[in-house]
Amino acid sequence: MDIQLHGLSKVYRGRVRALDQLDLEIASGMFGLLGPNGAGKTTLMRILAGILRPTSGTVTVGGEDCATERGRTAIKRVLGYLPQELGLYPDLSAREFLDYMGILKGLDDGKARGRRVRELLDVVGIAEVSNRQLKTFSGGMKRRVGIAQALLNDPKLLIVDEPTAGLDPEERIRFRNLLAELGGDRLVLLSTHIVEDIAQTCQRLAVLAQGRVVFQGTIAELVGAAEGKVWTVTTSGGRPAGHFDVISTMHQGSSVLYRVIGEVTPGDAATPATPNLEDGYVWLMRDRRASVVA
Amino acid sequence: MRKGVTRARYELRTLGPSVLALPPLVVAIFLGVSLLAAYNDAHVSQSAALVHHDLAAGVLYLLEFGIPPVAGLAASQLIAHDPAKELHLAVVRPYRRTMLLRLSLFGLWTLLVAAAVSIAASRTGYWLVTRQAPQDQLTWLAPAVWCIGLGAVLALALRSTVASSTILGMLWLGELLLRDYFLGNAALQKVFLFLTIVEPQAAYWLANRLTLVGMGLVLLAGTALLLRNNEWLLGQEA
Repeated sequence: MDIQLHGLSKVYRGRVRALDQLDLEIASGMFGLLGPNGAGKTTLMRILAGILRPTSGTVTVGGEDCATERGRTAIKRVLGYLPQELGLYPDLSAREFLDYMGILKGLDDGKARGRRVRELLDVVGIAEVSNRQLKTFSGGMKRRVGIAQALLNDPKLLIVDEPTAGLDPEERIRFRNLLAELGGDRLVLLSTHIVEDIAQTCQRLAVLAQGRVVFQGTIAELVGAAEGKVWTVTTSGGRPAGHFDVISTMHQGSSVLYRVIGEVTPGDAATPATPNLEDGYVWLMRDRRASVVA
Repeated sequence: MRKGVTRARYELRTLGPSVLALPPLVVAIFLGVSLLAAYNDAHVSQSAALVHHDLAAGVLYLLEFGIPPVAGLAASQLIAHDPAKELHLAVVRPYRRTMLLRLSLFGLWTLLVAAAVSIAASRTGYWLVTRQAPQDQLTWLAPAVWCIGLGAVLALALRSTVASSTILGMLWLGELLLRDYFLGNAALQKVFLFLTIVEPQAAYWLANRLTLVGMGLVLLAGTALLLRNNEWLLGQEA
């Protein structure tokens, strides 16, 4: 399973350009899609899921063309999709909801569907509460139902859009681990604006900004872009002077420890720091802002 | 067959109890009011004929005046408010067919409730409609199809249950308040919703009923067309 995008653009009615000449190639495994809110991630996910049609360019998923009805239907057969805004039917139980989604996904054999539902209820850890109505579920439990429905048809392509938004830290870690386990020989496309989620699960990623791909490569390559640009500086309170972006601020009694990113050292008192993915992302976006201004 | 029954059962469950409860609730309210009126008249006038007329009129008002707009509002709600819309758009079964199936199931449920009331009224002598059966069932069927079609298409076109319900309510109320104007105009006569109540012997009664059914079906076809447009259904979010 692979995804190929060439010159992909999406313009909504009202001439809102959500995607602008996107080129991207994605192979099997976990792939992260990172970008600020409004970058076009959700639009891209919806096109890949066969929900929206591209305005121009070519999109193939496993060799199927997203621009045709036949292609979109073929993609939906091998697709598992967890949208950002996960709506469920509150009066159905988790078991009923999964059974219903199984019918909509074309799993017509009732016995096989029932077995698959039971199996997935175990996988996502909600078997014990599976007969409770969904309106009684917490946000984390609903997300687990969401991932279970995405897996019903044993998809080759799993698209998850902002899956950890609104989850508490423990649920977030559990969900990330579950996604990583699902990777295997599938293509799992994880879209998020939470850098940590990508850092913990993906080997490769792309960064989207204003509808364009501004980076595509490995985590190490994005981290490497910030090499030699990150420092920690301790001050008596004031922000260090200069052209820096402050990544974090930590009060330590009477002094404040800043982690900053910038082109040149913020002074003699600054200590070079080892960059992480968040630093790489901030550097990339800063670099992009600077080039736009120039 | 079994698969179809399972699917239909789930589709009814997705509508929610509040939507399904609407038709029987309207029946209960109208019959309750009619019983109160009959009880009052029985004490005041002691006239059995008047009591009988109160109850029969209550049934007619329920069927032509009460059930259609409520069915339209419910259709508007069920078509515009599907919490799992985006999930459904990403599966093999077309979303359009599911929504039309839900609309049909709700329509069938409304039809069962209204038909049960009219048949019971007819059998017990509380049926004021003088038209031949089954043509007499157009008394409620025609405005109901019109209201369901209008409620559904407006909810999709405006992407707002509040806006579609308001417009539907205003049209319903407008026809009621301007009934003389409607009845005096040859074109508007054909789309007057309460003809059986106001002019039961009108020569154009059948033409009026068939026009309403036809318009309702056209509006439902418009609904089906709008349901094909995923971009419209989801709005614009980058």
